[in-house]
Amino acid sequence: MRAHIRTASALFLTATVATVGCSVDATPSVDSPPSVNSSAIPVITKPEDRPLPAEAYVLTNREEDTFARARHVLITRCMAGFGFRYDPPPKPGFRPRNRTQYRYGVSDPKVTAMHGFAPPGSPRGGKPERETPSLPARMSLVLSGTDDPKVMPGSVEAKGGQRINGRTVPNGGCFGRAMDALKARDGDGGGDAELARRITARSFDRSRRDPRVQEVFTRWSRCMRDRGFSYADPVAASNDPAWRTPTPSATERRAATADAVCKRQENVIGVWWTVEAAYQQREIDRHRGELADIRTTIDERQRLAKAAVAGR
Amino acid sequence: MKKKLRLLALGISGMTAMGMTLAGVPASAAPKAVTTGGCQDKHICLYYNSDLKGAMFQHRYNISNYAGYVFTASDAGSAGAGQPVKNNVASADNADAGNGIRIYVNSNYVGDWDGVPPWTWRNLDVAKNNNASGKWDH
Repeated sequence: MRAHIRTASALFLTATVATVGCSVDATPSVDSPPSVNSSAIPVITKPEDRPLPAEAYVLTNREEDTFARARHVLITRCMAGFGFRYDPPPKPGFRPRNRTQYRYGVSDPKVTAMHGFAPPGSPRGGKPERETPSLPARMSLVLSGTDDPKVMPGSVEAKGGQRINGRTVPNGGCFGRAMDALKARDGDGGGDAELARRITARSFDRSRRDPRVQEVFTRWSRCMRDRGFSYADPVAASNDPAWRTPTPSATERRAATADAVCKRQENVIGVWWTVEAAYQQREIDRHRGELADIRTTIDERQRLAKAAVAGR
Repeated sequence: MKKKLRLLALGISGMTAMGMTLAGVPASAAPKAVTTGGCQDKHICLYYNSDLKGAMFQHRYNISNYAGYVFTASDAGSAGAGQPVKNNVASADNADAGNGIRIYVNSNYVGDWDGVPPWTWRNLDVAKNNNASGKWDH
């Protein structure tokens, strides 16, 4: 069965690659669909185990956590210097393990049978956990470097210079100072670089519209229709407004399970991931230098963050 | 592309309605926004236009589906006021000092995302005009 699917995909991909260059799209060849090795389409049932090439240039959850922890440690030390106790922010709670885990929607029929389209552990109808109060004015000034609501707190425009508890507030306050120490002041705020986000955004859009992926969507749609559901692609199924309920309905659980089953039957994720990876790799090859700089920046901030937490 | 043109048209009609003129205001020369434009503490402020311009929608808690919410006119303009928030956000200002937020392309925090770190603003890339849910993060 599995071998059969792989062969079908491979044959189809070969045919598409052969025809695509000379028809349909009038855009320059530089933006034509990148070729993929159609004999090596992997069967993918656990997308979280398959990072895409551009993930090397965005933060992992672990890197994000390391940076966030260092930011908090540095702010806390600075605030203590002014005689203030600064409490940690609420925990993030649910989030995808990585960029591919839910990138293509649901993938595991055992999970969807219980949870529908929402990932297990996501606060679908859960209680908000963000009830921490705002800081008193003087503390807020030390943290942000400004009391002007029009100025971005912690930025270079947040001038500082005020005297609080016998000390002078630094430019950008304790937040700005922590971000300086982590070489992440203003700009991206220590988050993902614009180019890296642009590459992952475009690769998703382009791959979703790619003829090879569209073809596998057609077969997925047919499989879904056999189970009583009519959607153009998995994104449409996942975003059906009918699923806006505090808990998954029986219909949602059936639809999500049909989605996961049909994805496996047609190896939708294998084809989609392979095509998307090809789009990303082409962009990575075009931007080698800038991306190397982005990676260097991430590594440098991680080094500084680990040193800050260790008290060095 | 079609969407961009539509948005541009909406933006222009919004500005015209406000009695503003386009003469001498090339979009490319717009200065980088550094003001917070009235975003409340601990909220994420989502803007209809890039660079924190136009109508705005702010929220403090997670939203698993932006469907049903609309932009309202803000200090930064009225372009997009009354438009749905879902799939119409171009920029975001995180007014929370402690937590970042991820703006996801699908509902229920699924699919790719744009992260907006604490006290940072950015023009969206991944979720630009393609935002479906928003969840707080580190």
